[in-house]
Amino acid sequence: MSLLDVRDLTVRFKTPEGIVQAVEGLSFALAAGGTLGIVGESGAGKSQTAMALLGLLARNAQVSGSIRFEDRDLLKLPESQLSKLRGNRIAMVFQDPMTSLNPYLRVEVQIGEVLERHRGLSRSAARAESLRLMQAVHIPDAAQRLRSYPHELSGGQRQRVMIAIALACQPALLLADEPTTALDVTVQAQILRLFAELKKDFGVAMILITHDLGVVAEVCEHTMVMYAGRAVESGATQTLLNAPAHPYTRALLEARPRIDTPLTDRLLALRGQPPNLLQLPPGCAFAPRCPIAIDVCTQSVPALRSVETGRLAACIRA
Amino acid sequence: MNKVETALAVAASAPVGRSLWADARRRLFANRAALLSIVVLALMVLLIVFGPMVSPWSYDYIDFDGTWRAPPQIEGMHFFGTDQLGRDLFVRTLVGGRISLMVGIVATLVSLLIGVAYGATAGYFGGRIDSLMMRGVDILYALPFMFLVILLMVVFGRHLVLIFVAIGAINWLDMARIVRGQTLTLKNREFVMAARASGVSNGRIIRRHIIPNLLGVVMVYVTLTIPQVILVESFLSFLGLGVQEPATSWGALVNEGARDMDAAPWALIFPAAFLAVTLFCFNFIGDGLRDALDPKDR
Repeated sequence: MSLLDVRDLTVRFKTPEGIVQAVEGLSFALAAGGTLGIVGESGAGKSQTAMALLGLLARNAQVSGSIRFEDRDLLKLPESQLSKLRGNRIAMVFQDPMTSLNPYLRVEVQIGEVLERHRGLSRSAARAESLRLMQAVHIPDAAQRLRSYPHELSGGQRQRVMIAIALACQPALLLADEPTTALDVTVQAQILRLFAELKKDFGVAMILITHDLGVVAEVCEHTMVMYAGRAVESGATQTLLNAPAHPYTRALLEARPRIDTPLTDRLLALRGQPPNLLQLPPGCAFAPRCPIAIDVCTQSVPALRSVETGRLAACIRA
Repeated sequence: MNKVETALAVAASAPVGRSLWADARRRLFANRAALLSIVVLALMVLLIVFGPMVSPWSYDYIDFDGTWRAPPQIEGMHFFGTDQLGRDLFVRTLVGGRISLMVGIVATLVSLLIGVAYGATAGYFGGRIDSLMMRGVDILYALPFMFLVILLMVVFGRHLVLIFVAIGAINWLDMARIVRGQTLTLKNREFVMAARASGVSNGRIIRRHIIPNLLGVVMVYVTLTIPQVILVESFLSFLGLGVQEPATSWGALVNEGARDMDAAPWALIFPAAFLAVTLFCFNFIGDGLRDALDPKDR
């Protein structure tokens, strides 16, 4: 029995220009304590998937499919029930720690807010618990930092505070939407180490959304690659990165800068543009950019199929 | 637990981080014009509150033997002279100040409370609720102010409370519009999204996350509204729609003084000077606050 079971999730946005297909027929499952990395370019539908899990999609969204979490379908829950889950059983860490904290409130208030809301702690109990959380995410001088305002903290410290807030109620599922993108590389490494450690200590399942394959390799057991709202490949991270089955995954891997390539070499870039989500091509969305596309590719959308055990790819040539 | 308690004790004794407000206060006090205005205004309030107690005269005592006494009348204790009915102008100016400042502050507070709550709600929920609420505002805007005041006077008779109601009823519309506009930009900020993702309720998000972030803009607007409201009251009194004799306000005193300014200029000069100084102070404080709270300068 998995903790999270997403079936056929589809998210569309009604806009004046037409219907934007943000997520199409996405299915995946996550076991308790497991980690899943969702990789893809901007606009691949990664963040909208996370927002759908939290029930925080924009007003013009149309959602279908099912999201089973702890034996309840999140898409059928009323708002009042959902808001009890948010920050409690499902928590989220956002991309930019600079703007995700309220500049006018002390750190202790912002951590305490969640504790008071979901665990019904008194103000003083919430403070003691906040301190424990600040220590758990390794913020130096945690006691003093509790009394700080966000602008007095560094970017890495702020992201640690965000993580402390997310972990406050010991959620079963943690969504991290590009949690390291706004940080510089050394801080990024520290935060990733923290994630790995917290996963072990708190036993929380994690969905890590990123476009950085290095991050996925470091933290995630399973990886799902998304393109134009669909999953194009998924499997165990190690095998997926070592032997990508889908040409898109291969292209992503080739586009990575490597420390052993000579500086004079040009980085390989993926040809073309990501498709327009208002008007997806009839066949495989990646076909126009695919180096191995054949005629059949532009006629029908390839289904996600098993290429080897535990390995799925949506490519007829895989 | 013990470790936690000692750590908290350390935290309580540690120097408190400087908040945006402490920052703003420091910057406001560094602004000489604003600091001087605050001091002058504070002295003005003290004088208005305690001044009439010092004088042996009351604001409505009529003395037909002592009309039009020119200042300074130190031995008669008529520091600002007397008016056509022999009433002491020093006391009348200060008592008028009570009314003017009270109207200014109370009417502004009323418009602040209604405007912020209304505007933040409309802006935060957006969509149809927003359209509906703001069309209501537009309709009220379309009512001519003087017409509303005269109507209220005719129906309910002249009363000080009506002035509060009339001014407040008009002023909160501006406040609601400003607050709504700010809220629209604030609600898409990431920390509001983060709060929603943590399951914080809408009411709490508005109170805890939206309104504190509005206060900078709102505070500045408030200091600019107070003088505006005092002027409106003066204008109403000038037209004879404001406070009723023998009670008075700066506007009413200026109105009376202006009638006889050839013969008795002091009856105009003193209340006019008090009014002007107060308005200057509020404007300087407003300017200072705007600079102090501007995040780009921080």
